[in-house]
Amino acid sequence: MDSFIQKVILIFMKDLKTEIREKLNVVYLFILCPTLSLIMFIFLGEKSMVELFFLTCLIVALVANQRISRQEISVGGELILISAPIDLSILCFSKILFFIFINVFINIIVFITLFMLSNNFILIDFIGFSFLCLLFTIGLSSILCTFSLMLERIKGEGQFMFILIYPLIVPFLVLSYNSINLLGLLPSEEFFSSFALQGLAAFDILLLTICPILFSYSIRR
Amino acid sequence: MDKSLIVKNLNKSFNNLNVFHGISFEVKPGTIVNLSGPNGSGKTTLMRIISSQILDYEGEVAIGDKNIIDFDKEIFSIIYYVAPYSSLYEHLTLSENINFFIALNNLKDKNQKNLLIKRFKLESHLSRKIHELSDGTRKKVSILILFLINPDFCILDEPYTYLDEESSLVLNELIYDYQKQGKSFLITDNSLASKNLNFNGVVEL
Repeated sequence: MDSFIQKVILIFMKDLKTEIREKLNVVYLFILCPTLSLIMFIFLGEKSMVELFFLTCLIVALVANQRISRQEISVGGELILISAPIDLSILCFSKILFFIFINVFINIIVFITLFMLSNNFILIDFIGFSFLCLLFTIGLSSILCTFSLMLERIKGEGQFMFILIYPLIVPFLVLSYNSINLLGLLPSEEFFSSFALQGLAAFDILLLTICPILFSYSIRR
Repeated sequence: MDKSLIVKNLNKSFNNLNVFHGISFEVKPGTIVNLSGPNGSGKTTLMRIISSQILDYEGEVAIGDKNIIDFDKEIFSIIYYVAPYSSLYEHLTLSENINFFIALNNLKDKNQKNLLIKRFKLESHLSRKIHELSDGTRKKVSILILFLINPDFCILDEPYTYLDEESSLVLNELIYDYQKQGKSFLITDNSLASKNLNFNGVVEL
């Protein structure tokens, strides 16, 4: 277990060091997030800002995760760590952690942009909103990161292996949608004890556990 | 490790197109074997099968009497493949890349690292990022990492490509040094730079 954590930290710190020094994603996202927020705001209006926020974050995350996964691919198109004597779930798990970190940055930029664009983006329950953001980010990062890493390495029919975690993805999306709708409708205490939010937390844990295992299995077997 | 690498009746095809058929050979401990054949004969594919990077094939690859499929991730400490292209993190420095792979492989011998850096004359490039380095220098780093990991079977795919004459000689010296320790090498080389190397056997594809 110690070795697992050490290796996860090692790969995560490698990514963090590269990001801090090279700013490979941060600068790109600093431009993409406000641009996409503006486009979404113009097209969808300010009737439901919370939904708009999550939808914008989802689209930006879809683009960003491809860039992050590509950093693990060598010039020859292979995973750099394919020959490393580690379980590949370690690589996937650390990439998910790094993607959570990037997603938090995305959330902040999108929130600030939408807040500046609209007079309507007033959050009654900011703690509930932040908690929902975190839960949404963890699940989304697990799904997208695993999928993009698998896409880089596995060609053709092998990609269908991702269907294996559909029974986790669908409830995650439904529960996210329900939680977003409940935010603002329920008082803070009731929101935290709602089935949708608690179910979302449970599926986050499942996704965070199953996704790296699926990735390792699909590559090594 | 006193067991041979045994390849038995290996077949591989891509989309019903046969790459090679019925390949069998043995690499004994402490030997250097040349894997030769024309372009497209499947040398790289064979090397990637042996190093557990390609898993869908027919036949058997074993170390002693144990199939490589039955090994867990430790197979990558026993058989290590050096690709013809760079498999390094482009935005990390040379030194950071080496340290990363040292930590990843739980290696502790710092003297060996310094010695290899000196032999390949990489001291002046340590703080430069990989994408700023020449192809030859990248190649030296990949080979250096192989010798640091020190596996029992070293699979070298076109190791002399991009290397200058001096570095090729250093590589040959290192191969002999490690051969004396009982390490085995399977090498492909289309550049003929390995002509000075005394092969113990040849596998023709």
